[in-house]
Amino acid sequence: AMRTDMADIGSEETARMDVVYEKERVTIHPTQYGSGRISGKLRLYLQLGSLFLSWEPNEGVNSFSTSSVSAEIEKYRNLYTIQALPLSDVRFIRRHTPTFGLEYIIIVLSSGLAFPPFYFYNGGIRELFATLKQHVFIIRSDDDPNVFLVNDFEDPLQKSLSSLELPGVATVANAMSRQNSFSFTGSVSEVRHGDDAKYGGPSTMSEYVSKQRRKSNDPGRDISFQVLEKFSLVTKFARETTSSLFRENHSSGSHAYGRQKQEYVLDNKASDKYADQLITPDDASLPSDSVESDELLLVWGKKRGNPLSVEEWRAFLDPEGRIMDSKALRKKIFYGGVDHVLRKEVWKFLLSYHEYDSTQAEREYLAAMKREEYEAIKSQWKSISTTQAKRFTKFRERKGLIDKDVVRTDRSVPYYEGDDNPNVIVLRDILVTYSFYNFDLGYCQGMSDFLAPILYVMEDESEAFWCFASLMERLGGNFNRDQNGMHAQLLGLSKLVELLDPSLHNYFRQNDCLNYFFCFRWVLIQFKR
Amino acid sequence: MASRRRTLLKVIILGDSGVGKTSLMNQYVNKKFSNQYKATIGADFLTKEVQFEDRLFTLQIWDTAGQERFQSLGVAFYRGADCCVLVYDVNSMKSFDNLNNWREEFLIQASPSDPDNFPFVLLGNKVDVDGGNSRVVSEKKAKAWCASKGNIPYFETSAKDGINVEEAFQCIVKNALKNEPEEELYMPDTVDVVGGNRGQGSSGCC
Repeated sequence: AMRTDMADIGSEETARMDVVYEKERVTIHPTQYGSGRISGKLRLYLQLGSLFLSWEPNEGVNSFSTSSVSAEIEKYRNLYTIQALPLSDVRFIRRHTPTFGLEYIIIVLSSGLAFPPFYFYNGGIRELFATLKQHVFIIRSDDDPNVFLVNDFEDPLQKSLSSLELPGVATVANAMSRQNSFSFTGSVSEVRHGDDAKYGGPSTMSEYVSKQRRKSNDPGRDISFQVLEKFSLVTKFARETTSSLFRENHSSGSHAYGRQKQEYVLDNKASDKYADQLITPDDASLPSDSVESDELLLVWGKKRGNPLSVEEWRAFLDPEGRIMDSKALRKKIFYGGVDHVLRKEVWKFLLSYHEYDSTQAEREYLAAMKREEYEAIKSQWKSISTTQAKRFTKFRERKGLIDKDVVRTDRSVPYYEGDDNPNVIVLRDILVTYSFYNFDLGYCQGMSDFLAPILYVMEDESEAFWCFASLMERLGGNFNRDQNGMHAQLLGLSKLVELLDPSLHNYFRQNDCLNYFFCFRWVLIQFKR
Repeated sequence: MASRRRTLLKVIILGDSGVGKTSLMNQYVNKKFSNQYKATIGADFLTKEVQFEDRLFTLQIWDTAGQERFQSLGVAFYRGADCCVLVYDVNSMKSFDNLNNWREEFLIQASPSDPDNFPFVLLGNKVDVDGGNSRVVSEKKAKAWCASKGNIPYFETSAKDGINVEEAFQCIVKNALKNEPEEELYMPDTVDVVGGNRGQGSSGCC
């Protein structure tokens, strides 16, 4: 029965085409003759949640010249008609805005093929890009400001997310929302084996869908669905959590939210001591063993374990201090966190500053070396005199920005509070040093939010610096000047929501929020605030 | 007719990092000042119900991050703005020098239909600092800049002490309304049809 439902929904969806951009007199010049121009209508439209581009030439208006030319024009007219080009197939679009003459664009496909220039006789290129920006991930190339890269992802995770088959999957998602169920596994297998489901609509669209569907036999795609099944568990968990939060909120007021939020944050952040200071701890009056709270102590569907204790930690170490089973250690920490007394030691591994298979002696040696290295980098900017700084705008600006931010970072935490707090100066020194250590990345707002808890745990300038530098190896992309990393993250997020919570996705679409910028801060500083 | 009246006004606050954008917004909306603001990441917004000439509006104030690096977000945040508030710190020449960039960046990103007449309001903040002794940008200089950009209304404010904040936002609301072309059809009595001479003189507009 479900298969039939899906086919129905599929054809319904296929039939709907939301035109989001339309421009007449978008013309190609396939021949050198003025009479050989073919004018047409360029459109962008949404179908099955994906954006498509089409270009339809006008019927024979230019064919008043000699028959041989007109036959040739007819050939081009057929050749260059674009019925439904999914934007996911576009590599980049180059915009040409000559001082004299018409503006035009060139569309280059992922395959390397390019369409001939489209000349905009009625203008509208800016609107075209504005519309594109609303619906697909598009960024200006660093090398050429007139080149707009579409679907450009450096991060392999984003790449795999972007290559997910959305039209087909969106149908799955719709089917799921119709049924109000989360039996994701079932729906997925239906799609995978449901190749006989009929899709109506224009032929090109059907071809696209069937092309996409053929991919469904790829082992790679099965893996992506396995991943998604895992994610669906999270969605289910998140939903239950949210609804229990709301229930609790209604019954026992705002205190409950404070407490639950705190517990929830702890699960994956492993920073409860710090969180205690950040969030007003007024939970003493609350019963800690309520059923609702227990539900929130689940981590990926498993009950939250106890924090890693000193004894357990010792058991992971061999006589020379190597960690024998790093995977088991990380799993233990993932599900239960770390006892605060161990954080200083354990975070160095978790943040990739120390290698799991290093010995205690090696780590001590490394720490000494790294301390010298840190001091050397720090002295690079410490030795800049006032007169030198006057002629060093970049340095002044960076330092100025950091100076402004460190006094705005976690100041309600006792470790950083009050005037002339030396810890704030250390925070500043580490960030300026980092902006010299990684001059290309420099300093970006949000970094101080990451460093503050690290310094609090390490209580040591050099160690905190190296832990922070290691973390930035992983998260630096999010802070890139061109914001590519963040755009890619947000796109990935939007695709996940589209798959896992289609009704929420539709709500965002209706409210013009599909760029997910409202999640920007959450993602950039990993839900710290 | 009444149902076609616009009730939402969108205002964007722009300016260098640390000039007090968040503080100004909070002082206006919540009548509060805190020394413990955090750097804005991405953007935030607050709303406030305001009454202007017997009409009620929801003022939606968008507070943006000051670091240039976040500017690629601009497209999404600037779109549909009715007024743009530029803020600088009277104690920082650089924040004043950057006003041109902020203004131009806004016009490029928001691409308003009539860029020459799009309403801006300039606020010179932190006039309270050090009793005015650390001030480096004079009122005269700021007003000259405003005059050169088509008589942008100008206010000297202190988000900390609440000086001129209410007045500035009154002016912001008034100017945001002038940017509403549809209003001319329905509310001709509130619109300066001559246009172009917003904020006669450069010291405020009300």
